[in-house]
Amino acid sequence: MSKLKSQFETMGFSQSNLPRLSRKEEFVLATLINSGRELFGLELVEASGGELKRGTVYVTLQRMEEKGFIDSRREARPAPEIGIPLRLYKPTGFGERVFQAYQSRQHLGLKAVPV
Amino acid sequence: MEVGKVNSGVQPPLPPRSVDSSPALQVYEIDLQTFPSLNRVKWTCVALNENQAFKMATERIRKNGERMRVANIVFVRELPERRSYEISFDGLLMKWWKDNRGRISNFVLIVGFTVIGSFSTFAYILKWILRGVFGLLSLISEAFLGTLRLVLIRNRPRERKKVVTVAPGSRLLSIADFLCSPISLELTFRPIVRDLRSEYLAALALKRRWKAKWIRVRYLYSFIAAMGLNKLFSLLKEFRSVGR
Repeated sequence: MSKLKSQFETMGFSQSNLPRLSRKEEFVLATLINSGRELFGLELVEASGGELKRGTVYVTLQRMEEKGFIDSRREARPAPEIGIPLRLYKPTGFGERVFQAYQSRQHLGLKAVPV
Repeated sequence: MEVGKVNSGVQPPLPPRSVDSSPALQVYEIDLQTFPSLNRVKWTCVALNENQAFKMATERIRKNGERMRVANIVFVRELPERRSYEISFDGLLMKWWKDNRGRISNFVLIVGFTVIGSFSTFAYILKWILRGVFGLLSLISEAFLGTLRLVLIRNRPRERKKVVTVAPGSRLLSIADFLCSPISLELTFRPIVRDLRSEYLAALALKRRWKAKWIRVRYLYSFIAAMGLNKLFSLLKEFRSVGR
């Protein structure tokens, strides 16, 4: 237990400044970290198995991007192709640390405060 | 000329002339005296007047080369006036019927009418038979030609239809562009429309038209939900910023 607490503190978080992560956001972060590559919205929906919906996934991703948990970029496309490009998402270092902190917190039984 | 002698005979008064422009014909009896036997021969002719009758008589003598002379010309009677009729075909038929009514028996009439009626009935039936035959022939020919046309059309290289349509989700994007911020448009709504188009086109590629339609409906719902959530979170964010 003390080992986990020390890990939690080494991440730079305490119980007071740990950002709030909703269940969906946690799921998105977990999926992005575990995949090891950039994913786009529909892949996240398909990987969630019903946890994420098509209508809400992008709103969630936008909020996470605004919070700094994830980063996104447009897919580079060859010149003749037209249309809306894919937007690829990957977790930021901050997002990964928050996710790990949440994993540790779950073991410690601590509560998060909204950021 | 012996005309004076001819006129010296006793003659009845001439009947009054008709007012009609066409003068009435009159019958004259002419006494001809032969030479040298001095016998009398009577000859009747029809002429318009005495002079014409005399001329006709002398002409007859000259033609025949007889030795005789006109002794007397006697007026006999006037022929009935000539009448001109404009007789139509019906009039002629009626006249023929009136003239021959007594001669034609009812049996002949019945047979005649039966023959005519049978002929018209036969013609009527024949007309419909011919119509049926020609109608059938035309149906067969149309079916044959239609099949031929279909074969020709199928074998003809198809011309691609030029259909210009709006890409699915374009209106939704324009609505989002009007209602939301550029960041929300870029991060939320454009990816939704992008997913809509990719799934829609994938369904169309598999020729699943109803699936494609259902995808459009489902993404419309997703778009509305995203719009509602987006507006709700913006509102909450605004409240928080005011509260701080």
